[in-house]
Amino acid sequence: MKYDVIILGSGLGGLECAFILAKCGMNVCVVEKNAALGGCLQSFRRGKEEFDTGFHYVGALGKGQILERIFSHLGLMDLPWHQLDTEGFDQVYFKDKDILLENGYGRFARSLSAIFPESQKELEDYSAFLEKVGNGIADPILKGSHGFSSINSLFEKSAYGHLCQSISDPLLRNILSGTSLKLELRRGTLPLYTFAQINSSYIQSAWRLKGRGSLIADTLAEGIRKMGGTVLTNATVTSLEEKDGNVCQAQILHKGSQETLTANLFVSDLSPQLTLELLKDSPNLRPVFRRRINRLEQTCGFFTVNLKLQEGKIPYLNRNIYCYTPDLESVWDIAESQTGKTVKGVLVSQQVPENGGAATQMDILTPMDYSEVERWKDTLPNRRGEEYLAFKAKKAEECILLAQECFPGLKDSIETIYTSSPLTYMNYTGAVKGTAYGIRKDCNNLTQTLLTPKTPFANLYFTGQNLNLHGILGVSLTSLLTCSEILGKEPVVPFLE
Amino acid sequence: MTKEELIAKTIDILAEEFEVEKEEITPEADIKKTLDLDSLSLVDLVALIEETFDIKIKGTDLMKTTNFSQLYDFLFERISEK
Repeated sequence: MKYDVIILGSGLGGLECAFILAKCGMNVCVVEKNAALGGCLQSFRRGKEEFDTGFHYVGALGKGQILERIFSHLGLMDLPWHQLDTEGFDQVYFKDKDILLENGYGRFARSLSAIFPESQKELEDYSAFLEKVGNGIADPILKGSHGFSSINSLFEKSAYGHLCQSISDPLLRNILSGTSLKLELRRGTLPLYTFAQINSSYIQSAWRLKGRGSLIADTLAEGIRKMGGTVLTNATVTSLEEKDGNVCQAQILHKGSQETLTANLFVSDLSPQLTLELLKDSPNLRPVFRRRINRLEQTCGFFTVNLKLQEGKIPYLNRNIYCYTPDLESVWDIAESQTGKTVKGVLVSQQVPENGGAATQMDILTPMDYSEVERWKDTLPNRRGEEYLAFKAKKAEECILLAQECFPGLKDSIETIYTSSPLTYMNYTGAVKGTAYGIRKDCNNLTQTLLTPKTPFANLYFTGQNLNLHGILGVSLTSLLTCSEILGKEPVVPFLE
Repeated sequence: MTKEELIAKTIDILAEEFEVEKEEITPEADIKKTLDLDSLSLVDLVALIEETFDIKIKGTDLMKTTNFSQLYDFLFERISEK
């Protein structure tokens, strides 16, 4: 079978690229190795309960905001989106402070100024800066190289350095960074662009999905099929083959039998490292490119505790909670402070209850370095042994005890506990070392760590969270960027309108 | 590291990683043509040099060197500054 485009992997980036290219008239085929679509968006079932893998909340989905504009063109705005409280979409517990963050740049700055009056001017400037960065999010697509140069200057600045320069109160710096477990807080490397863009999108508005993240993947797949595209599951790409310097076909193992799929173009939503493994004996891929890609570092993974709660015991909070232990001096130290030690900070997120009322499920997440679980990397899921189970049980208890600071009585309100580590994530999503946010972009080494969709092959492109920004919004913009490399800017711009 | 050692090491690593014959890497040869550099592989070259010699360089500075003789001078100066 010959297609215009074969898309490797059905993560959000793969499905979005397939949808956009199909809408622009191309005959697309998405190839997914798992039974479930969605990559990090996939949900999993334990008993009667369904839990999300990597999807918890999204920003900038309000009317006219950037993700709403993109999602409306992808047919995703009819999903049951549920807005978090505008007067407190995030809540940060740090030291003796318990602070709600409000939506809207002005309100965000004003509500924090009421608590930190000395910092009012700094907060106004900080908020205005985030708004300006947020407003320019589509520039790389709309303005081409000029747009890139403006964002590159922010990518090359340190987020931590900027925060120290612009906010003088260390406690306020921690509050402003305290909601950033949704990115990798790392003093030495985190680019200002990543920090500002992601925080800016949530200040615009914050949303949960009433239902599972897999709804996004399933809806996109349905749209692709309606446009005549193909979406294959249980189909593993075993190699990519070349002819005349271009990739020409994919060998796949589909439901037990070997098949050959041919296409003019290939888009890989797999990690760049995994993509290059499919081109093992490539005569056209010089060692120097492979060497550079394989040396790139990965951002941390997550340890996740999924709780099925006893009925009516724990209230549903229409916001996310970020809670830190009192001995943590800076949220920017969280990775080093808790690796191999006790958990120092958690993000607590709840599923919107079906019929209102109390919470039925709770997810507690904490960053986890791959080194903590590396010794079990060669074991199989559900057969990793007693030591691994004990390790997970101990981490889960620490997470629950910390979350209990914000949800009194939590420990006694749990029906069932499920846990997952970066190994689980690696196993089910293909993320290298179970990374949560893909390749680590380094503000000191931007040219090497910020990959573009282009590869040494003129007809093979990368997409997904390893490029540009991570997260639902970041991946969606990268999908448009990848498609604009393929189609040119004109057909892609309407997806931003 | 002496300049001769630097030159030998550079030739070895470039020949291996860019898959060109060592004999092609002469002092007067054009870097861009010899290594078949485009914007993507220029980044590869920067990464390779940084890793090999444990230095930080900018692609724009590297592109000011047109032949290998100039590249060796540039690298030797950078390494001596360490």
